[in-house]
Amino acid sequence: MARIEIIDQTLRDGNQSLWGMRMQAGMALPVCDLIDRTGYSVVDFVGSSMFEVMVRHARENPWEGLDLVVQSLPRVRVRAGMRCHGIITMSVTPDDLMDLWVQRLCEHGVRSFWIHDPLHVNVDKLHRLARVANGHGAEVVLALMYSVSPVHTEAFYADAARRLSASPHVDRLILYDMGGIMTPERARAIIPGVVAASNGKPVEVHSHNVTGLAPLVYLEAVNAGLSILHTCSRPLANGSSLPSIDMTLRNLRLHGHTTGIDESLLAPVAEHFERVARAAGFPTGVPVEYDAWMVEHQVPGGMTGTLKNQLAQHGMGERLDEVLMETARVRRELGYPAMATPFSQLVGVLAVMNVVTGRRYGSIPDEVIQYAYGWYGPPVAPLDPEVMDRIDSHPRARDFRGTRPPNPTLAEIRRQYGNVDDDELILRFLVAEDHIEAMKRAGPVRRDYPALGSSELQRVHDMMSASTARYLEVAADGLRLELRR
Amino acid sequence: MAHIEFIDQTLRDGQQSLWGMRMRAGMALPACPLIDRTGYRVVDCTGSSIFEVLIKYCRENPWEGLDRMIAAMPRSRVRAGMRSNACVTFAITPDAVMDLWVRRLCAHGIRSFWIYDVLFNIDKMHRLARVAKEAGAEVAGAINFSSSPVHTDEYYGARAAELSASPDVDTLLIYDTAGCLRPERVGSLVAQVRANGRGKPIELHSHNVTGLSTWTYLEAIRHGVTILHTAARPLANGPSMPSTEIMLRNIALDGHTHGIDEALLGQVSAHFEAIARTYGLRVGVPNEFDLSAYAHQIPGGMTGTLRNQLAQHGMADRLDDVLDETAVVRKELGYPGMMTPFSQLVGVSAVMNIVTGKRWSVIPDEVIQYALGYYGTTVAPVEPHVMERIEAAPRYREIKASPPENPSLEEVRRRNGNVADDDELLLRAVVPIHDIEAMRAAGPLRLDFPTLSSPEADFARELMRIANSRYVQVASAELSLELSR
Repeated sequence: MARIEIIDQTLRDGNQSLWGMRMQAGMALPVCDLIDRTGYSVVDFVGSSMFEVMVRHARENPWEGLDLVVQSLPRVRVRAGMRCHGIITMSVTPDDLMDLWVQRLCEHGVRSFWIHDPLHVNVDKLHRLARVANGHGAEVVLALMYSVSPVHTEAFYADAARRLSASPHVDRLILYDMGGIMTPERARAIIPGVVAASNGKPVEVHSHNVTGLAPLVYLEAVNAGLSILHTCSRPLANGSSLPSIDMTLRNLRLHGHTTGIDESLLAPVAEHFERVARAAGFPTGVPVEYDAWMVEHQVPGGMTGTLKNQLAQHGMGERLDEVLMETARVRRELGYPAMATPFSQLVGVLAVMNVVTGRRYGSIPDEVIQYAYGWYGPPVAPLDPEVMDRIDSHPRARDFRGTRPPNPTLAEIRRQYGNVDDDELILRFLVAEDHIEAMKRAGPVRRDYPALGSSELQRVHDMMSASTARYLEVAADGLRLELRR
Repeated sequence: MAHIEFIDQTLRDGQQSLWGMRMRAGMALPACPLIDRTGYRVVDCTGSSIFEVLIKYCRENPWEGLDRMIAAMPRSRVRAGMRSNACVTFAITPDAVMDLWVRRLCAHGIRSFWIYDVLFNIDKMHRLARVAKEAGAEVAGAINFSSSPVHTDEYYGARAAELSASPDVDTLLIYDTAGCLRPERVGSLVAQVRANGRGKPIELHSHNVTGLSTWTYLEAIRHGVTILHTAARPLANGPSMPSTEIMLRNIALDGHTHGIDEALLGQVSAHFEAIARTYGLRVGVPNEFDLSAYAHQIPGGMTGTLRNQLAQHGMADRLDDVLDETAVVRKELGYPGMMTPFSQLVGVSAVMNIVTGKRWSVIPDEVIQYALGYYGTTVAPVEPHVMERIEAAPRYREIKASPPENPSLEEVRRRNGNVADDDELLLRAVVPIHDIEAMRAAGPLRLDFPTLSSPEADFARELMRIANSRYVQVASAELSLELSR
């Protein structure tokens, strides 16, 4: 019988896993008060990729959206997340800018951070960011990024837990299973060592329900003494997202555990997001069949869709399974990086190119060369010698061998971007200026999102353009539809 | 590395679990030639409850439909299933009628049977197996899995020894109606069945209620199961079995082989998806893991029935109480396996106990018959305090004085107005005569079940579903659209 703390991931990872981060502030604001009163300790909300997507695709100022959401969540700690060495996919960000990012988020009311390094080697960077966040009164959670490989053993995670939790600025650890590949057995095997090594700091659990096993992992974690779980409102749960709050509560209750969650508030929130999904044409999460291949290739759920699209562009849509298997092989050859940003993308891009061109490592992106030369820290296992040879003999190798990523000071960065305020500076670092201009032209952030109307009309429009008939009449279920040209 | 065979459950348990047995022969026939060429070991197709539903609710002659389907699957061994001591209803069916069922089904082309009895009346099971074998069919003897302190691996080992002793039993079928056979249990269970099964192949049939059956199947193969029951994707998952599609993927990863022509699966699934969409039938989706499934072990379809019963008493909010009560009643009644007729019997008692507010104040006749051993010896004794209530029930004396009869076929014929035609006699054993007359009045078998398929029509249906207004008119320069309710 334990008291379990629940962290809400509806607005962040549910949105990221199922809606491609397209949730605008106005889609969340109408239910923020309900979420605020549900009894979550923390509501995860933001990250730099979401900032990028909001500016580029929604033409919405993410700082303004963040302020509105933080204001409507006064009772909970709002969380942001980041990779320790980068706020833009694939590249390495200067330390000063990372620190500024944390400071600005704190100024805007973020009170909790989860920070990760997929290789678990840049402990100095992790602890530096932890100190900055802690100094602003925010809680810091460092992540153990779960992966399966000969090097990702129980001892590996216990050791990482010991090193990561060693700073006084680290409040908690989180066991983070982004690929949803943790099995209950592995949870049973890994958790005791992690707990023993975490310097008495609580360990949260975050597992994507990609194989349908995450709820079992949560129960194992609770059996092993952990008591902080991540869940989503039902429409944004399951599939490539996390378990639902509803089922998690049900399962916990059967084991006699309690939470402080007010269950009467769950349904209105879920109904709201269902309406938004319908109106915006976004998918809602459904559980998936247990697919053992997910564990084999470890490609995060959201990324499978990207790979599928890339292959389709080359007219090779039917070769997805081959690419997934190639992904597993490339990952092994690159020394088993955990499949999280930026490595999931690097491995995925290489796998697609290997399959599409028919020549393995025929072309090698700069970032792979940088990785091989330690820009992201030393790989957890050595690269395959043949692949290392290919990298060494690549024309670009001499540009990166023995170098470190540029690490300009904030003063230098400011000089580069002109005299703008810090929030604007960060936006300019994340996206091109014309996107920011377009965002500003689009006006202030909308406070709501019309749940009915536009998408139906869009469908009608699609139907009109798809139909070649001069007249179409369909009748069913007491409804009649007529289409005339 | 094993060679795995598949038994298709699309037409039988897939539609029983998801469509309430409402699949008309005309809905299946377009897919039958494909299923026939897919390479299944057996295609399960029918049972007496399907006969009942087709007559009562679809007004369709089940013999006629069966003939058509068997004719459309000339390469396949088509299966029927039966309880050892009854067709449909709670009542005990005379042996002579059961034997007649088997013979008539064989005359119509059935070449495989699965025979079950939750209380393991081995004599009756063996007698039916002999009748089937004499008529040219193979027989799977079912071992109904249930989770309780008395249903140990040793218990099932002993049943496997008894069942397999007859030369007329060809395979042993581990049958998990409630989907509560967990991956960590299946190994030791299969080992016991195998050790006592005289080398007969072992089939596994597990409803994917918790989402774990897929995984259970993989574990089972590692321990010697070589025959899996699956369904086409739209009729798989949720209360049904794992899909054929996912199992082929998963067994390939473990290096097992199969004889299924995967190219045909997509067409079959597309057909049943179109049928489901057009006729408003449910498509199976995986469930999120729900721990409570293990506690009450209620078959998937029955939860809906319980909900309806409670709604009739204006107590729909008490479903969770009834589910809890089901677990208690099952224990008190000596842990009968939760399958027809006992799942209903336990469920009805639980509803009565909750609705009346006084436990065991109302005792259905069937519970008295069960306690008197009319269905066979109970697995564990009925608890004394409940036995007292049963013996004190008003109907107890009367029921005790009239144990089930076992009239000869001649006697059965005489009681049914000397019906000359055996097929007709069997229909009368299943439904009241007025239902048979109504079925005849409905005319010949309906073969045509058109499906909507154009994208425009799909859009229109979708639009009709989401539009709330009674009247919608949209006009552009080119087109005008009207929608009215």
